[in-house]
Amino acid sequence: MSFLAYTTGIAFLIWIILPLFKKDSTWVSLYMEADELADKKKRVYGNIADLEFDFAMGRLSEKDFKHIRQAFLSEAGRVIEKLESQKSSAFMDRIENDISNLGKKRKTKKKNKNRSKVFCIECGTENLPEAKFCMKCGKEMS
Amino acid sequence: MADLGNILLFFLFPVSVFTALTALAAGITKRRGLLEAARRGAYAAFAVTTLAVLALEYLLVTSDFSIEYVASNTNFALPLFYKIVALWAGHNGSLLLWTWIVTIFIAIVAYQHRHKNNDLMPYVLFVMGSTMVFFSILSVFISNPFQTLYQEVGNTLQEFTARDGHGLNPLLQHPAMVIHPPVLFIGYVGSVVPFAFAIAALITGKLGTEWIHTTRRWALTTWGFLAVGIILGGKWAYVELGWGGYWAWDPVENASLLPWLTSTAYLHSVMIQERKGMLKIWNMALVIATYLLAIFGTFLTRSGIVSSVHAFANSGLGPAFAIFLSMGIIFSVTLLLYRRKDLKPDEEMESLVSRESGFLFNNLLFLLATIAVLWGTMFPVISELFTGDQITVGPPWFNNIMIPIGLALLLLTGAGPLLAWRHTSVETLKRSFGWPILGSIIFIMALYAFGIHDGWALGSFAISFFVMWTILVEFVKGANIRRKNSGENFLLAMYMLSRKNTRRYGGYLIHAAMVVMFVGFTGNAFNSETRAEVGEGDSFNLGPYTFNAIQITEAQTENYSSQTLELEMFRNDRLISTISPEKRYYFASEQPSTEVDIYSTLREDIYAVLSGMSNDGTKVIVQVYRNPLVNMVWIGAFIMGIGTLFAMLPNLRENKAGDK
Amino acid sequence: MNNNKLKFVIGSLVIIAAVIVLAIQGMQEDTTMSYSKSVSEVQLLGSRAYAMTLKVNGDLKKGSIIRNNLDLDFVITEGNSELSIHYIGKDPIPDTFNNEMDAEVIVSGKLQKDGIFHAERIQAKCASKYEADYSSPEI
Repeated sequence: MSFLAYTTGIAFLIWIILPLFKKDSTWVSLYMEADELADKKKRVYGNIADLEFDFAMGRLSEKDFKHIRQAFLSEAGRVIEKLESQKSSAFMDRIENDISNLGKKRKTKKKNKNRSKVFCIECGTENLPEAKFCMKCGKEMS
Repeated sequence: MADLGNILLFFLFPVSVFTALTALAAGITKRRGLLEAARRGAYAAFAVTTLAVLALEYLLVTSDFSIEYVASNTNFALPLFYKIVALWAGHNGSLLLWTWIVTIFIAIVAYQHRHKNNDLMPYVLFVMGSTMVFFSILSVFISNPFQTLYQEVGNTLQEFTARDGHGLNPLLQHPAMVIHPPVLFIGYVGSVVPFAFAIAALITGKLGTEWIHTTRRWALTTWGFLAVGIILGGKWAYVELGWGGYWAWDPVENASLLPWLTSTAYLHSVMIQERKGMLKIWNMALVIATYLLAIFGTFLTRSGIVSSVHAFANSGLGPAFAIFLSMGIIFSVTLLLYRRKDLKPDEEMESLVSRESGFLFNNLLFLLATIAVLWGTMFPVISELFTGDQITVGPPWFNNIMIPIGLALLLLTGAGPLLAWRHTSVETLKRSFGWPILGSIIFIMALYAFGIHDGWALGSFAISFFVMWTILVEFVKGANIRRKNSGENFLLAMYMLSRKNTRRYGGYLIHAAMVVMFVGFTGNAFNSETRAEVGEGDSFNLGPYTFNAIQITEAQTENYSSQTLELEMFRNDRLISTISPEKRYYFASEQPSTEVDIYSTLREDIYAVLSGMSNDGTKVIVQVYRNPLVNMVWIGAFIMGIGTLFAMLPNLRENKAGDK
Repeated sequence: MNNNKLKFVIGSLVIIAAVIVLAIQGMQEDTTMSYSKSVSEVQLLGSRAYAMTLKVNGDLKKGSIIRNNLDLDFVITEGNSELSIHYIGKDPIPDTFNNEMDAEVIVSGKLQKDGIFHAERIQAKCASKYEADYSSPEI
């Protein structure tokens, strides 16, 4: 009984410590600014939805509604524009990053198999699991 | 089994340290291997603690009285069910339960995020792991539930087995008491998850709304558990303690209310951050405060720093908690200050009459309520520090502040949703508020005519009426608009509407629940009571009720002996019911216990307590309370639970073109 | 913009001031404030004691409880000091409160000129019943 308990315990401990001895990869923090812009985009869209709901519920005069809505729309425009330019520069960073990682990746090819793959729903390009946006078409990854 | 439990529990400490350290290392080096190791450490901590809990349960169920905890909290005659729940009846066991819940949560979080949030996760695991380290130190080294019984024989200490245990405190032998601690603990401990994410966001500088989206459901869930836990505690006090009320502003009650107040404030103010990018520092501060107040509550309950009826006796944990708490405060405040430049608001306030300003005032009121409760609770300590006298402030002081704040908040509950974001013009204001205000004025005039003259009560009922009206209008109007667009029938439209924005309509449901509960609270203004010494055949009155003492009986079971008074209750000469308050004497714990009997209707509770016996033993003293509207509190709590569950449902998505 | 901020600040200050007023007002009613003292400390207070609402803790003197109809009198002690208590409250007396038990008692109320303490509330704390004292162990 106690022998069994000890063996299980030790096996368990080994299992916990095992990942420490893997030599493999580090992860890279990506797209910090893009995250922020995506936040903003989400916020503007949420605001527009709320505004329309508020108007439908009669909490706003038509004048206010039109005025505020216009302001939101132009804000949304600005955010999306920035997002696009951010994305293309982030895309370049990604390529740089991939190239510099190319050497390392060859060595750990075997391990890469285990990593879950993520595909863009829009264009089908394979992306890193932590990617927020598709590296090809810029569609938000879920 | 005790040895096994001890070994398991002992392992928890190194495993927790390992988890916290590897997580921290993973955050710095960004190595996947380290993060994976930290994750496995979290799973291991959960496994080890679960087994330790099972070991303690085994000892409790088999009544192994060589273990101090088992002997102190159970006895042979105790029903099996109470033997099982005795896990959280005493200090050491409930601390193990705390620790266990922490490990459950860390394992869940580690598993949920195993493929995502790589940047935040190391620090999340680090913060939760550190909490685990702290609690493992407490359970292993200071309050070990597997401690055996010792006695002195000559100069040596020897282990021994007690013949029978002391039994479970009779006050705890009640169903509400059985679920109250775990529910409340889940609420307390759950606050660590949003806290860990907030700290991780502060450390990594990823201060967007990502951490908020990730923890939104956690924050809501733990808020719900905290609320239900607090109310269950009130219910228990009401039916078990026998003083006719459910809330006494006792330090331990206040301790559970504090994190609830700040987390309620957070659930509201977070909407401003989502919509306007404002209050970023404030939201961080609220999440941090909620967690620290939860720890503080535990500290207050277990350190004996303020005297309370239901606090655990001084358990020697005071210094450990004080150190942990101050470390937490210093760490979080430093981080907040360090990041304050990155937490600048994106927008400014535009108008005093707007939804966001409603939220702002809501938060101010919650903040003031928190400070007031904290101040009142800690006043004995504060006053001793400055004047040398320990001064306690009583319930009237709390009521004096909290009733106005509560009513103001309730008013905002009704007014806030009627305001538009950013700006509301005066004419729309008139349109939205005109009818509800008129309605509630007519309503209280009717109440006044009906004979209710208490100013506070009239105010409270007026506000309740107003809020209920506005909430109903929200649902009806929304459904009508949807019906026009979609052609669905009214009920389907209302269902679809609320399913498409569960957070909004779940929130309204919770608001409605608060109204119902406030109606119940207001009932306190009309409480009345009487005390009488009666023998068989005597009678007495309370309001329109007449009570006849029919008989006094005595009985015995294996666990306790009891004395019961049977009262017939008449209203206007019509027999309504019999009520039988009882007094029990538990053999194992040598403790008497009062079993109240309550005749409960929607309108009022008739609450009878057998409070003692006259000297010659022929008569008994009975106390009867008439508590109007108490049931509204429990009904409101139930609706609140449903509202919380509803708000947690994912939003229904429709794929119709042009749909918003 | 600035004008707007000012409005907020004023609104908030009004609310904060109102709460502070409530807090101070509450502190002045002497029924809500009680001074925690032990039995011997009460005696040291002398005549100052009559004006204060006190929360006195001491040990129940065994066998001192006298019930007479709805009245209740008892004595609490601390070392050599004793204090006679007359219960005038309405709430039921706690379960742990009876002549057979070692109980630590907290009474809240006022000391009268005749030296008898009129208690509005009684709280009994169970003595360390659950901690030590396991009788007749088997070795």
